[in-house]
Amino acid sequence: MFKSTGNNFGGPEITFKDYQGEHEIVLNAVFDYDSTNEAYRNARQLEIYVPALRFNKSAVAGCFFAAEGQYGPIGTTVKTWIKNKNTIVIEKLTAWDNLTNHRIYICTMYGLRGFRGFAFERLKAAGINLQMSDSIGYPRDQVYYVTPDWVFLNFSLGSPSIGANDKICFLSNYNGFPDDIDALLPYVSGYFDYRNPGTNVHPVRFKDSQILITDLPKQMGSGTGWDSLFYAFIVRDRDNTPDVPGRCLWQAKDLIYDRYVRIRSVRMELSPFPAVVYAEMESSLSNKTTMTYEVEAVPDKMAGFKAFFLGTYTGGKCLTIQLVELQLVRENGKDKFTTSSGTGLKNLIFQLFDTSVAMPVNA
Amino acid sequence: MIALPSIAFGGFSGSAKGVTARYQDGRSILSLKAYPSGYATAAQMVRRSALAKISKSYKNLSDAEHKAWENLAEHATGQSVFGQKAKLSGHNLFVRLNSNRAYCGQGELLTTPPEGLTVIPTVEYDDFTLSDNLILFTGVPDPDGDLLLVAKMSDGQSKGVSSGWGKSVIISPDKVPDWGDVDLTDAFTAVLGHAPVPGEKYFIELYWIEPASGFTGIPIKVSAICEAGATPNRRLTLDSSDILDDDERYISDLDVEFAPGSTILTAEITYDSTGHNVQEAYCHLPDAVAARTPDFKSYLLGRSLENDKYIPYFFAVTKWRWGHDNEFKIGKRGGPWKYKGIAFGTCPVFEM
Repeated sequence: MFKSTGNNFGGPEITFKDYQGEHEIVLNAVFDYDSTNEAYRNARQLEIYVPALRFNKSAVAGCFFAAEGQYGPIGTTVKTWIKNKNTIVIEKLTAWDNLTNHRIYICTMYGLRGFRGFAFERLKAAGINLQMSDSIGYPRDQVYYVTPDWVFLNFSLGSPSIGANDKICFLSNYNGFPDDIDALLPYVSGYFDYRNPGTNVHPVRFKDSQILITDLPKQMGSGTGWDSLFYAFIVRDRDNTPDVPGRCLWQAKDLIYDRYVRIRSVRMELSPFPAVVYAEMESSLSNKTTMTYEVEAVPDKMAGFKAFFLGTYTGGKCLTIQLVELQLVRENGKDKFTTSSGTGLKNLIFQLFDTSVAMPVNA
Repeated sequence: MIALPSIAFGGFSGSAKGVTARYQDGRSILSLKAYPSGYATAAQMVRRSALAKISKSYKNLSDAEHKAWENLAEHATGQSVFGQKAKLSGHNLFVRLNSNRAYCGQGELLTTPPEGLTVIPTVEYDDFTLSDNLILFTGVPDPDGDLLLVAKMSDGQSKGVSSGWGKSVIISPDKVPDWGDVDLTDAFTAVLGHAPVPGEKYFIELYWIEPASGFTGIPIKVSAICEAGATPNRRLTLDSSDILDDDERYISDLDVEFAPGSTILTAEITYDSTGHNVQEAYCHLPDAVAARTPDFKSYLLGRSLENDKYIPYFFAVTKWRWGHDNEFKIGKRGGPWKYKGIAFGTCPVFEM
């Protein structure tokens, strides 16, 4: 998270949630500004000044604009890009300058260009099955991809029914959205106001693993073909502070081994001297004794280790202790995390929170 | 230039028919008027025609302005602000900075000197390709500040020539690296009228220029023998020139590039699907272009254009084999469909 240091359009200090990776930056921010102020009027494009970003510049990305109309917020999509390490630019459209209160939603991935000779890798979108209150339209497209640091979610729905105006509508995922997201995001409802360009860009709250849609505008028009849409890259709220100062923290979520097997969450804190490791972990069912995951974002200063932990086997009705060996191997720039059943059942389905002695593996 | 002892021509000075006589340091010097030789690029024509004008206009400056230029010139002496150590007069500095600015299309004359000297960085690069079909520097970092890259290049010389930079001409006065790439292929052909010839040696100079002040950096000098048919490791892109020009071209402008990190697509696309009553826009790609990537799907934001009132959309972007065609398609989500619009943004690519 960081705060802006200034801007050229008379806007407020802006708080960004961020994920800054080697090849992508994901930013979330919402801010309002007054379109009558002189700085805005003089600006050719909106520039937000920020502490140094990881990129020197980015390719064009997209975000959302809304202006407060008589019957609700109305707007469109606008371009955005990183101009230099300290400047984020947002395209300025003047079609809504007759309306005073403007808002920008940045829920955006910024990327790079200029690479050669890399493998073309396609992601596999995660399974999604939207469940929703019956006032929201039928889903047309549902794409969902989740990483430990950010989530990409987009979907299109048929135009909302009139009944949606008076209800608190919700959207959630049968398989569960992450519970570490709290974000104000734009929902393009499909409602429109013929006096202004664009369509209704409505604020919705993504929190507690669901999207809440309230107060849809009552006096805007709707019609066949005016479908709604949602499109956002959302930063997850990861707490990267170790519980014990001085320890080295690594945590990850949803490490996937195959279709059914995953580590839902893992949090490890390593104390280098004496070499002690604390682990919290939740694993789903597996019929394998040993599973290895390629993992990312392990802090550089965390050494490879192996350690034995006691966990609770959660696959049966009785309380069963599971001995688990966890191993982190760091070799040739790749990090591999292995879980092995120590004794008892092979089915590794367990929860653990335990502290153990860390033994070296990369020696 | 001919230098003669003063016995014969002492005190004699003046010009006649392209010959100039002057007396300097106890010697009389006869010099012939110099005419530019070799190629004159557009940038050089600008500079030559501007030089006289700029030089004359120095006389029209006020005393205070003259003094300011002289002061700055004193500080410029010995500084690497023009890529070489040189003693400069105020007049020299005035002409140099303003003629450099003229190169970059800065029409207005600097009458007051820049506030101080600017040290311009040297051009850096990772790799360089010189072939009959490609002149390309890669890995050129963007400079801090608003600088343009000036490229000078000689025509082909024999392999034995060790220094041919004096024969180089400006082929591109205002290049901006394209994500690290400086491609001089078209500029060379446009100026010298032909492609580089395999087996011949070429001399290249590159330096940064600050258009606002006219200051330039130290040139880097590169020479290489042209190879035949380089096949460089190209960036993974799809652009307008890749589109098949058939009667089903509904994408007018295509600018797509891929980057690593679970491949990420960045794009700016303009479409016009007038006459095509489906809520999508597409074009076809030749087999060789389509072979650059496997089939994929991705998602971009976009909107209809101004007259259709900026209706916001997101687009499902697909590149796939459809029947006998390699189709690149953007399918509208959200609504309602307008025939003309843009799609833009950054998104990972997914399996179909």
